[in-house]
Amino acid sequence: MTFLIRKKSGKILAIAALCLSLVACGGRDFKPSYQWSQYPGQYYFYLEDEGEKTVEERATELLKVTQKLIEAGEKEQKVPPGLYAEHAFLLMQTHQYEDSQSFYEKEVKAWPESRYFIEKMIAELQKKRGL
Amino acid sequence: MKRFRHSIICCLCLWLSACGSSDEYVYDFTEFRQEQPRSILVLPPLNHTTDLELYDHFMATISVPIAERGFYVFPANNVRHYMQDQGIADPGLLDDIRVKRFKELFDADAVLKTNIQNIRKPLIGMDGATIQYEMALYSTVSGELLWHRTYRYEYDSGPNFTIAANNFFFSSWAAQLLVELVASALVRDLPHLHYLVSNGSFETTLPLLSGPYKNTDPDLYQETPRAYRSYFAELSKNKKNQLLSGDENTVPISEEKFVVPQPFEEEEISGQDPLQNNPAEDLEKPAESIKDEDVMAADIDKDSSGESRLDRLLRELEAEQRQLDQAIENE
Repeated sequence: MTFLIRKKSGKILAIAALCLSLVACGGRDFKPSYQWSQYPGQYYFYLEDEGEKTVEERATELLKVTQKLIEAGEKEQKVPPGLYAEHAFLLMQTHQYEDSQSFYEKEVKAWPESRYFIEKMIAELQKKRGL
Repeated sequence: MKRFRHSIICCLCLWLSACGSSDEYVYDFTEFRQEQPRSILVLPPLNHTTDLELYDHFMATISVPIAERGFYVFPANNVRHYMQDQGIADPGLLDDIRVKRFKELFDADAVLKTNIQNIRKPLIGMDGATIQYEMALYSTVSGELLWHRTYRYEYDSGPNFTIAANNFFFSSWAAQLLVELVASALVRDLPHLHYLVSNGSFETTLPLLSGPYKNTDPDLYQETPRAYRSYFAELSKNKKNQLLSGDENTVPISEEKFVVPQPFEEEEISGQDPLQNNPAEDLEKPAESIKDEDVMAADIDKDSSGESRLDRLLRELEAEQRQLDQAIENE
């Protein structure tokens, strides 16, 4: 390869190659495609507090997080899969049945794969409501 | 001499320009391409360690990388509740259930099974842990194995991240963030877990083809995300210097490649038949002896010839009847 490079063009070529390498190494900027923020950590606490606090207490704590996440996520269309359903489940645990059903329906609308399972959850919800 | 120097720079830069791609991790995805799963159900992991709460913590974190890869992940808390209702929350029990059954229960396209084989934590007051676990993705349509991998991991919590520094130099980038996420959940290093979830990029971490909600290059996971690189560059400055000076011997992640997959389904319960050591059997013996005694009590009146009193009476009556009959005939 060395004999192909002339004295004058060598320097230019070297600079060009250096630039190329920098561009290639830079790669793309990756950002998470959904709004997760503190959810996994808080869910971890929710599980850990089992036995120490009542279901309602734990659910209301986690509800604050999911509420914020959904509000923030809906602006940028970055609500992660399953979050609507988790929010709906927590609402069910705190006896807010009407809101719960609307969030379950949102989940089905956003992620059609969940339809079968969410319909089962809605059936359970309606049992609790006494319908 | 100058020309020589230029050529060296040229070669070096060309070599650097190739650093973006690597062929370290190759996996046969033909079955995966055929199935094209859209939704993944994460089962609570089989736990071969003494820590019983592990699977909850695992479930709290694992949905992040899978969702970021472009799949629908079933909501962990809902699934947990539903399984408890159905009486199948126990991971050992779930492992025995046919994979295809989850299509009927959840309408899931694929099932992720995890097997936490080993966690070695040092004594209190010391940092670090060794974690070994395997993951396998099964199709619920055909029941076949789509993807399988085993991870062994040296985890070091605290201000210096040993593994981070290691991988920065020696290992492939694919799946490291995932491994670290799971590891931090299992070791319960909460600050690190928070940091990873909020700052890390999980798009390329799971070494799977991308799902339906992510239309990216299928081989993207082989590249190194810049955000991840800068993150570790910041964190592991001290450790890097140590490595460069060669002060410390550290063990990099060992990823077993091309291991012949051992599906979870083939594992059979090789226990004793519960009926063999049944305590009820021991209770039956005295019951039988009581029975014999009762029979003996009923036959206490037997003669030495073995004939009971009732039989003798009947025989005597028959004899009298015969004598009477003969007397009537004679008259």
